[in-house]
Amino acid sequence: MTPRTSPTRERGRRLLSRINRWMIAGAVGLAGLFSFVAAETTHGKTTASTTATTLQQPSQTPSASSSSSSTTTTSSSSSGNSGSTGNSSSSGSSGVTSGGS
Amino acid sequence: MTAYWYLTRGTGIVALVLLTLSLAFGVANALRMRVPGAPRFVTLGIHRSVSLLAVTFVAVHVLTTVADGYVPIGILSAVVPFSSGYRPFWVGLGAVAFDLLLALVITSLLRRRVGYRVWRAVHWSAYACWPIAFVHALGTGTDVGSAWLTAVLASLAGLVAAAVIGRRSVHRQRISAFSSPV
Repeated sequence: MTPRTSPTRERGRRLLSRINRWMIAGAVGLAGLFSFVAAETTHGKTTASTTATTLQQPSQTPSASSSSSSTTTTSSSSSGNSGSTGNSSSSGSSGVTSGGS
Repeated sequence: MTAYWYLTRGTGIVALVLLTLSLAFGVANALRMRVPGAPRFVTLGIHRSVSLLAVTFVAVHVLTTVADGYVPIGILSAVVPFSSGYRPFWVGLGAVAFDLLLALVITSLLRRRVGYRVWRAVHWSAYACWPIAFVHALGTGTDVGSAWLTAVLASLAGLVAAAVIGRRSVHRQRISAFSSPV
């Protein structure tokens, strides 16, 4: 019994070992990729979606978002890492602070 | 530190991917499926490895969140559900999923000591762990709404749905095979 199953078992172990190595490498690579994509798509922590016609004063957006403006806007913007926490809302806009996923 | 924040998001998604794969391979093992050309213990081995890797990534996810320091999430909030000062409900779901995952891994490592019935009872909670982690990602995720994350989450949900449907249908077939007259 043992001599007959041993090569199969050994082959299975080698395969499992190889799969484990690739899996660890793949998971680390995927984490790097997702982190990069996350950094590229949503730079900061505060995702403020402005879907109303607003006239924003610079003092009302302490997050100092590069995309904030004092003009009439209808846009979705995200602030940087030093952005404001909580639901910072001005007239017509709703700020949603997002956490980790 | 911004890098921690990006890592938190990246490792969180990978942890969910690994949790999904762990569930899928667990179902495959329960259905006695095997990797083509390999003995059946390889399927169980992959299930174990993926589970341990998922715990590792969840740990990195928690550590980078705490280390980032931007939001008031302490290390205790990672294991004590709904104790976080920041988004207590959504972060609390993540803590529940983490606790369930830890219970799953610990009872699996001590399977001979805790006995089969306890291990099996705890192992069934894996089916609760995945949706809780999924809802945590949906509720807390910074990138929710972006096309790439929607595609990833939809794929994971599809894989789990297929695994659960497959398991149920095979289970029913086995029951009907046993109950049908010879």
